[in-house]
Amino acid sequence: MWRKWLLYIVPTLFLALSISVMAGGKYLKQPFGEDDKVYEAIQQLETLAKNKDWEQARERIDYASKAWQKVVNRIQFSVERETVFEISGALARMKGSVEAEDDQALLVDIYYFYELWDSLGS
Amino acid sequence: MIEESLVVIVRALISFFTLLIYTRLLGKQQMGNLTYFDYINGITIGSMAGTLATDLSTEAWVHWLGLTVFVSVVGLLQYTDLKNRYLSKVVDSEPVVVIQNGKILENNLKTARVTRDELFMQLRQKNMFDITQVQYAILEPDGNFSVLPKAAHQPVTPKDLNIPVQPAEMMTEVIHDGVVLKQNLEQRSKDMAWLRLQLKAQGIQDPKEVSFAAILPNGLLYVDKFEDRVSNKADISDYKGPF
Repeated sequence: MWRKWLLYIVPTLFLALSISVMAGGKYLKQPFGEDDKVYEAIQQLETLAKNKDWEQARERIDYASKAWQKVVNRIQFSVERETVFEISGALARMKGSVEAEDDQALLVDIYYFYELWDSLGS
Repeated sequence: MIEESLVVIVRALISFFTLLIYTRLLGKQQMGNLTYFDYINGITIGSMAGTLATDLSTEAWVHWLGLTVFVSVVGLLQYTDLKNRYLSKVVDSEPVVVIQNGKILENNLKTARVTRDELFMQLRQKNMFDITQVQYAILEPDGNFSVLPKAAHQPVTPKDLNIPVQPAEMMTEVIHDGVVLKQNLEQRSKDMAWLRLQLKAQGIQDPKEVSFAAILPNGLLYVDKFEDRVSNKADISDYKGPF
């Protein structure tokens, strides 16, 4: 009897797990702790860029890059590879803009990041 | 950055086991009588599964969903085939008679888009080299030809010659790699004592010595031991090897 149950339970659990792995990007990109708040960090970076507070901006973009690496490990099974590359590229360009203290270029990339983030895993 | 190898491994495992579950759900009909439509479906499902495993430029989810929808529709059609004979014929087509009483039915052949050469090839593969010996040749929905020779050219059977025959039975496996299959023994109304006696008669003390044993249709026990003790083993290799 238990064998028959296993015959149905194991495939059902496997399919459920597969679905959660493949379709979980939308939820897995959300922060789970204190060191993976990517979206929040970029929002703060936007405010700092508008106030031209470059010292704080450097700290925020470094945090966002590290946080993004953490999030990538979680979402890599459920998102498009190109979107991940695009976000990594946008973060790298933001870092460059912060170093150059170029608030206009930084804001362009920040808004581009917002767009990419919204489409991530949706 | 993305661990591509790891992602491919996970996606390939998802694809593989999803395919295994789905093909088991679809049942044996897919392989048993593969119609042209089933064949195309099989290719499409396989292609989707392959893309799901290795195409990292798109989300796994969309391929998995496509695969699931495709398998569901195939399953639904199988169900309607069972429930509605007319729909079944619409989806899978129906058998077509292409030769009747030694005469080729050209219109039916044309409708089925089969050339005469293909027809003759199929007849030859059924050991029919003389078209006048064919009573009926039928093109089945799975693309195979069924051929009924004329009565005079059909093989003779024991019934024709009034020869008494034993009732047909199946061979039943009772030992597999040293393990006794008790359920199969019971199916043939035998027990362990009978099996041990039979093995002892062949000089075997323990079933663990046996690679394969089966009760033959005539009730006798066939035994193949792990130790074959075959002298002058046939060697069909052309070279020494190793290969």
